[in-house]
Amino acid sequence: MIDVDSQKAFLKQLKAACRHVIADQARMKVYETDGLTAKKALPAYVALPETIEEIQACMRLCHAFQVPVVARGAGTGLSGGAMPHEQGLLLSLAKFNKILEVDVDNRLARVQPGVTNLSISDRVRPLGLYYAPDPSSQIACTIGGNVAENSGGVHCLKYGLTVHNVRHLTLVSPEGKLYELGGHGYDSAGFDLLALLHGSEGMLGIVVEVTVALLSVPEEVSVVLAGFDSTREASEAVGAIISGGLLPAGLEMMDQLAIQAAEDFVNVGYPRDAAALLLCELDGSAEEVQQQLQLLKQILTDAGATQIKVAATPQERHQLWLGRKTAFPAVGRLAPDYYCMDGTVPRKALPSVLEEISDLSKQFDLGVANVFHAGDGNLHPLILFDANKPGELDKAEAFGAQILELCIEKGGTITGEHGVGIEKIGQMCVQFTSQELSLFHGIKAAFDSTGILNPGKAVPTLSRCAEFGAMHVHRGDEKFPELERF
Amino acid sequence: MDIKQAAQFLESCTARAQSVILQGSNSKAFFGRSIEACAPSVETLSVSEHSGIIHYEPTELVVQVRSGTMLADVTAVLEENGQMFAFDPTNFGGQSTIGGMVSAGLSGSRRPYSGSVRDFVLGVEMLSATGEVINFGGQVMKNVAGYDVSRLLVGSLGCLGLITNVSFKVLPKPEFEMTQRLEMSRADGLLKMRDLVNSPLVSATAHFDGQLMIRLSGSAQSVYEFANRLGGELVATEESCWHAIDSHSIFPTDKNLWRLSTAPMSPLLLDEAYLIDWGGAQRWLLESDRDIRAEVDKYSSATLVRQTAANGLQVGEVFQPLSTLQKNIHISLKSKFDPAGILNAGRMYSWL
Ligand SMILES: Cc1cc2nc3c(=O)[nH]c(=O)nc-3n(C[C@H](O)[C@H](O)[C@H](O)COP(=O)(O)OP(=O)(O)OC[C@H]3O[C@@H](n4cnc5c(N)ncnc54)[C@H](O)[C@@H]3O)c2cc1C
Repeated sequence: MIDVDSQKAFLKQLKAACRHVIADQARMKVYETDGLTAKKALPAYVALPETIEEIQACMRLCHAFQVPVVARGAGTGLSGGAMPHEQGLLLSLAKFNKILEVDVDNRLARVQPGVTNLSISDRVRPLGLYYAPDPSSQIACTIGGNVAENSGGVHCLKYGLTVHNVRHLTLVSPEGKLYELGGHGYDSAGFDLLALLHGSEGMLGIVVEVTVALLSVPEEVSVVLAGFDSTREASEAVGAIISGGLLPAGLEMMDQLAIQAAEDFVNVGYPRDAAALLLCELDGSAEEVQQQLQLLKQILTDAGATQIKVAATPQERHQLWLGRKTAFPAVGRLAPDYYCMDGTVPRKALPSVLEEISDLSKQFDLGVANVFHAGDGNLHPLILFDANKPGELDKAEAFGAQILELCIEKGGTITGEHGVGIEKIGQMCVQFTSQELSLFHGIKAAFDSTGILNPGKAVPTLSRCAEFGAMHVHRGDEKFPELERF
Repeated sequence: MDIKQAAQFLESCTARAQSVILQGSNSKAFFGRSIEACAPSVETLSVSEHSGIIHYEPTELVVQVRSGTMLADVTAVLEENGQMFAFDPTNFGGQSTIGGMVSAGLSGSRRPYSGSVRDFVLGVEMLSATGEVINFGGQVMKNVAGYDVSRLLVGSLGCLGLITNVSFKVLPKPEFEMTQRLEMSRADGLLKMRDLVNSPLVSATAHFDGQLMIRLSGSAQSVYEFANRLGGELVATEESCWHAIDSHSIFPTDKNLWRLSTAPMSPLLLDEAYLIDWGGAQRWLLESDRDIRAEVDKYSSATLVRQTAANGLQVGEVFQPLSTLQKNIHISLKSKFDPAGILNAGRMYSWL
């Protein structure tokens, strides 16, 4: 870490390198946390560059002074990826909010990293096009953050994650050098670094431009709601739909607590008495959708659906999705705080995992609502708690940790789309061996040899894992929390 | 050689700094630079005995396969269950293995319409250059824990490790498929491809010899209706071109075969291409001496896929050169995965 004199020199040069710099603490408050609000830190400096040259200058400077850099999009990340480093620079990409070019012929949009996910689709919809990955946070989250987390959304079952829909990236290296990955075709020469950058959580480079693939708005779309008497039947229906040969555009599940919260919040006509519901969207040519709809209804009936509703109009379709898309804030009204988990399991494990989560909920005496990407087996249990009650946050975190370990046990993973960040760094030690973690550190070093990009996130050090193993049961009161920081 | 022996072998090779060629069935010997031609003292490690499907659950749409398994054996099992690899894997001489398919990362005709090999890889187990078994990804559809090493390995031409088994997402096979042929110019063909790029029933397109070929996949009824609207004439499945394109057998062998990957509507080398497919994004050229790499723009890349038999094995560079910074990242990544630089050294680039 740098001494006081160098800090002064650094700040002076930073202000020369970048027009918008914040160094007073009061104005930094807004950056102290991302969507994982339980973890907070104030950065030493904030820069809001407006040009790529400014970003390069900031990086050259941080590299020279060995000041850590944390990139930030909209700060909606749910794993603390954009949580600042106390001795570091928070590099906000907020001013990079322009769509630079829409290439209709090639179905590509070249955008700046701070552009929100939804604004791309909004811009190209009049042309009959859209950008497929649609995280529920799409009004706010940025495409740079989407690349860094490899974000998914409701439509990823059929159309893939961010990595499947990005063709080209322009990056700034930790040394401030500009380079490009990918191309405008479907592949490019060398190792697939484009894929490697996806989900790399701001650890490998600063994304300064993104070229995304656009799709045609489908000719026909149909949304079906099915209510069930148990989560088991609903989750078995998920398997039956997929193995029945259907590939829905989206297949989502909500349990009773989530259904009731959504109804109280937006009143869209979900069956309040159902133990679980599925929302299934079919798209394609008109004939194809009609055929699939018949098959879907049959499968749902056979699986024990007590109620099946097909949205007849675009308004009804919108209503049905609205309840799902606003489920997080709706559940947020049930308790002072909630903690959103993100494990993925094989689809066939869904019924048993949901039952085990419900058992854990009783054991920890904390409520849990489930609303998630069922078709992909990507769970989002929302643990309800009150951070003002002593010990409840620790209890919620311990509950969450058990859910993640349950996911690993079922052959799944600790994060499907929200990333590891600072939050799941301990569980990384459970999912990966020390050889695998060492290789991750090697990859990091190949891009960032001095380790200034987002230090302490995403990949735990081996010594941290040794410590985590020994302290496993007492996660709440970890000693030496500063160790993880640098 | 079983995996234990392979691990010991790799460990000792790293210790001795002995170069190794990793090999499946060697069906893609023509692809990439020839290591034998460049480094005579190299030893070969074949995974062809390490074969078999480890785990296949049709209802989960997941299959996990040992790398030495013949691709044809896997596709046959998938087919029995009405499923497929949705990237039209290339099967050279019917001899390709799963490990080779992943290492080369070559996708076939369906690529623009449903995705590439890397898009369908869920997880990889590999032996490191020092003989350790390491695992990345898994058998679930979404996974962002750690860097995406499994996708990085796709197309890495064995330069990073010995792939021992791979989990894939598979998809249901379309109920019905047929190919339609329309006579039209290259320029019109390209425009037609553009208009069809997101048509849910289109699963392959190619233009050559004054004809546009369009494969349709879906229910019989909707395919026929769509074909009627398209016009043109039907090509019998046996006579359709897709397999011949994907396995390169459609291309004459008396000239060097080049592949250009570019934006679908790019004017680049459009009329000179022998055949264009992937909705226009993949262009195949036959050249005697010309090197097309110098002619591409920064968003495109060209590969010398196959030399003429007379020219023999490839010793020169075959892929598009990388920028200095990318090159440095490649060298550094390689050194982390393979500290002694023994794995398929020089297969991708002479300096790697
Ligand atoms: C209500 C709610 C719903 C959500 N729903 C979903 C969902 O359905 N699916 C899903 O996948 N996620 C979801 N998320 C999580 C979150 O929105 C995504 O992870 C999103 O991609 C983060 O984008 P951001 O711009 O907010 O990034 P930030 O939170 O600002 O940053 C996230 C990470 O990206 C890095 N980063 C940001 N910009 C750059 C850049 N330009 N270059 C390099 N690194 C960068 C940061 O350092 C950090 O590590 C949800 C979040 C909320 C609050």
